[in-house]
Amino acid sequence: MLSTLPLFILNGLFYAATLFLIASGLTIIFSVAGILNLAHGAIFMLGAYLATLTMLTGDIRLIIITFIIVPFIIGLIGLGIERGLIKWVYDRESEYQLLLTYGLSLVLADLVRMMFGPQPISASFLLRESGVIDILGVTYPVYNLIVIVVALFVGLLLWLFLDRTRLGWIVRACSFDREMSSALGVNVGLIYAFTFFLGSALGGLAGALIVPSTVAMLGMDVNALIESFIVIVIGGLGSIRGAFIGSIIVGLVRSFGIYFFPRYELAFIYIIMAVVLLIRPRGLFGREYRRV
Amino acid sequence: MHILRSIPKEYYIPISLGLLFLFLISFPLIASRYLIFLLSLALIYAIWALGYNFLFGYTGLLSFGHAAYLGVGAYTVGLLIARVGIKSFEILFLAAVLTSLGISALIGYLCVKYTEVYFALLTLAFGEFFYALAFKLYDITGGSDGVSVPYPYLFGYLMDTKLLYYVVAVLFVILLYFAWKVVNSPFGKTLQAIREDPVKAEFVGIHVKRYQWYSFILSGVYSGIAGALYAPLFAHIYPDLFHWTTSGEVLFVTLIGGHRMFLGPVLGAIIYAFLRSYITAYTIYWPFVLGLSVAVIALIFPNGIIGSAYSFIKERYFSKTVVSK
Amino acid sequence: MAETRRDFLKVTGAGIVGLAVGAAAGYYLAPPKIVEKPVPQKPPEVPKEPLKIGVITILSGPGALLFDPGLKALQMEVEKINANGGILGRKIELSIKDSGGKPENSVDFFRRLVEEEGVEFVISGSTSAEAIALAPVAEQKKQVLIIEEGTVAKLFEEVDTNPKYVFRINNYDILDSTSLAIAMKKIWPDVKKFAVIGADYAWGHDTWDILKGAIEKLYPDMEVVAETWPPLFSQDFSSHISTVIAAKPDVVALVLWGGDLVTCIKQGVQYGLFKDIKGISPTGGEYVWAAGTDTPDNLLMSTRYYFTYPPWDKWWPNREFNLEFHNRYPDSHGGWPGFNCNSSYYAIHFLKAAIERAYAIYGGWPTQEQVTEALEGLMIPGPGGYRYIRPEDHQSLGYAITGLTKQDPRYGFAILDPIEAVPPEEMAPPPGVKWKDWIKHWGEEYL
Repeated sequence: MLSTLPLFILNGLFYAATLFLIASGLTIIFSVAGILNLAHGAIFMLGAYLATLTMLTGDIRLIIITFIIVPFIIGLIGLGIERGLIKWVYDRESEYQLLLTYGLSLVLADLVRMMFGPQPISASFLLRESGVIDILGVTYPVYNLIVIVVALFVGLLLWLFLDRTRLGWIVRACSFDREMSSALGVNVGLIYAFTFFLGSALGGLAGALIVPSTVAMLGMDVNALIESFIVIVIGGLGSIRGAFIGSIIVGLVRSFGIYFFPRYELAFIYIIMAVVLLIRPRGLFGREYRRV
Repeated sequence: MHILRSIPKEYYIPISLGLLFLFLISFPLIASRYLIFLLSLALIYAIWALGYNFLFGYTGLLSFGHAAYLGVGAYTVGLLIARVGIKSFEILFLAAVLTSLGISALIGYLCVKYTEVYFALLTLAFGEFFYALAFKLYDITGGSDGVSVPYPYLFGYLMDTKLLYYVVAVLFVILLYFAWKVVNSPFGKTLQAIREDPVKAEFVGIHVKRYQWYSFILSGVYSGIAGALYAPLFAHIYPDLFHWTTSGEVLFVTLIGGHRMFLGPVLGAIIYAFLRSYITAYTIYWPFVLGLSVAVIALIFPNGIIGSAYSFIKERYFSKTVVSK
Repeated sequence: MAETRRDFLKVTGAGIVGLAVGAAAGYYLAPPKIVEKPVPQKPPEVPKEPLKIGVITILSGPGALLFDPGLKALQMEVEKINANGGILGRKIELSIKDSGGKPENSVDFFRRLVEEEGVEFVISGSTSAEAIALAPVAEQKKQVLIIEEGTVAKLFEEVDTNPKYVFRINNYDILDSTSLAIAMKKIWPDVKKFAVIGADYAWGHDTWDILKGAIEKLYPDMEVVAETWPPLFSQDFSSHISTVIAAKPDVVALVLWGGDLVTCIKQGVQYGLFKDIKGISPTGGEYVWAAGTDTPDNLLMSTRYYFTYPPWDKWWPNREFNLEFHNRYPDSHGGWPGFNCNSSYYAIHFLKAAIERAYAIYGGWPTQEQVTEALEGLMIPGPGGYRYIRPEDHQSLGYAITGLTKQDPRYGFAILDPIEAVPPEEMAPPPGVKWKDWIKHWGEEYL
């Protein structure tokens, strides 16, 4: 075990990286707009499928701009969903918002099936081309490291954005107190729309990043949704920092759990959630939850 | 209208229940066997949603793990038939009531300590715990393949689809009546007071946690009964009965009907069961059509179909003042 | 609402009276039971209207990758049969339902098809759970059900032990594993340590149990050094692969299918899994098509049918079936029919042959019972060679295929080459014997 210890840490971080990107999108939308977006998993899946379009071409320049274009397109789709549908239900009971996004998730997932068909799509050009390196005598794919670095970088950007820019302050202000922000002259509707753009783009980026090392397949939305949801619960609802730490915890526990308790992998994530909730009911970095 | 007015008010409920019962009992005379099957399913969903709404609509607690108690009821009946060989539905039914009672009492006791979204999450975690049990105890539960459940016997008669329908219909009417009594009893009013403001309720001397616990148990038992009927209807049980997507279904059924109305979950369940069955049968793109229908319902009926229809009619025909928009 | 005890009793009493009245009315109004008597009569003429056949299959969700090509093959064959005049002059009409892999949807559809739409036969291409849910319903409704997949061994061992109306026309779990073990013994006679990455659900555990049982017979000193059980549809196998590599086995069994197998192989290559460790996979043969050029050579896989076997130059039905499918659906599933397409072929042609056989015997459009009699012991040719339905347990057997993967630029993916086909009789228990008892005495001749 000792010689492969770094490997298991890296595996855990790799898993955490995509989980963090999906979860941060979910948590931003939840904290600002107060909507638990059940369609977020489908958004992630759509990102993965869209990315296969360029990745199958094998043109490296095209593939690199994929990581900008796909999040942008997915962000626009999120924006469209917000402006077209979700805008009308902000002042409804939150359960009806759930119902709406649940319906949307079915629709989006089925659109993917209509457009891309039922066969899994494997587009591993980038994984193959980036090669492998030797870590303490064990082979490790470079692409996994790229994913980890990109996720860290995106996390850093997000933190800088929310903490150091004017727009970021406004977004955070809206998440704390909607009425007050509105009274201070903030166009809250615009901020909500922007949040949906940002959150969906993060989901799309996660999809595009994960595709080379796995396959785009139907059903990937359901697992992504529940796992990222649990991550934001562990970290504390609405907290980016929480999503960051939460995904690392889930990634590492899963990675080592597979080694030590391979038969119970199914239950890992729920066990983590139950333990965290019993110790800290609000999650690791959660503030008092109130209904928006 | 005059005849209606001459009937004393307290007879409204038994009369309408009697009429409903007459309709349900005579339904097999006019309907095909398939429709009987489908209505059984719809009524089972209705019982489940009715129970769910004690907790959700009347107590204001959103559970995201209510598939657990449906599953407990179904697995109690299914495993006792298939593994133990008990064939008498009276015993099976009683066993399902008792197990769902015991398990919802235990889990409810742990969950009501939490509020709002954390309550929902804890119920979700417990639901998934049962899912994992059904999934992993392969030798007993058959894992993801599930267990095939032979028909039980009711008082010595083989409980085929038709007899099962009568059982479902009778139980549905009884449980509907009981639910009506409960929500209009002092107990039900207490629950609603807790829903409106738990802090205030505590202040006036209501033991909030205890009442929430009672409500949890009550809805757990209703779910268990629904599960006990579900197993013989499909003659098969499998772990997805416990899954969070199934828990989501009962929430959405309740919302489609309207959780503020007593009959909301019942009609939501019937609408949903028929809608789903017909959509899945007539298009292979059923997730798209179903999702679209659900989204449209959520958009145009802010209080669910029954809730919104009720407030529309009330506003339109019974409001004295003209409401300006 | 201040309600006295007396009022409450009154209302309750009224309710109970209402219930009782309703019950009595329902009892008397219920139609009398129709007692069916066997009346000797002339065999029914062949009806003029089209023959309706219900199809319950999976077209949404991850399972669709298997059944969507299967449905295409079924439609192709039905079109061909119709162009040649149908079955006894009746054109076939398919009523297709997508269960999404959910047993309760399957049962709902089965009832709808039989009771509402009046289909005469039902073909189900679906999961093991759905097969287990459907079989008892079909037996109870006395309705012929042809199961294309649902390959779990316990269907005829435990659930439907004395089948009358239910038939399974695909090879099942046992053959996937036993044939794989034998092929491995021939190629790698000296391996000892085994590891498994298996999908954590009933099929994964069943298949690994059978495979392990078979390996124990052929390699008496085998040991299992690592087991990992990822849940279905995992997107990341890196930790499973690392666990297996750390245990240093000789062989890793990938008991996965579909996108899971593709992902695991892709990531395995990156982690150097197949450098020193040999890979085997039951039923993996056609799933690696989706992996394209990522599949390494020399992974040993079994399958229930492979499009290159029997060789096209020796067995024209296979050539004809493959080329027609390829021309029609060049984009589907690598462009070539998989084992589900093969079983679709047999499903519809077994039905056709059975109806015609029963017609020849009884001289009229056959009843459900006559079709079941005709199906029992029936043998027909098809793409995968001759298939035979065992009359005792309604299980149909065909060649069990194994082969080593080999990249082939003509296809753009790894095909099985060389291919080995084992006659099924030695690979599966005889009717009425459970596999756990059978495997104790199996395989001595291969040692």
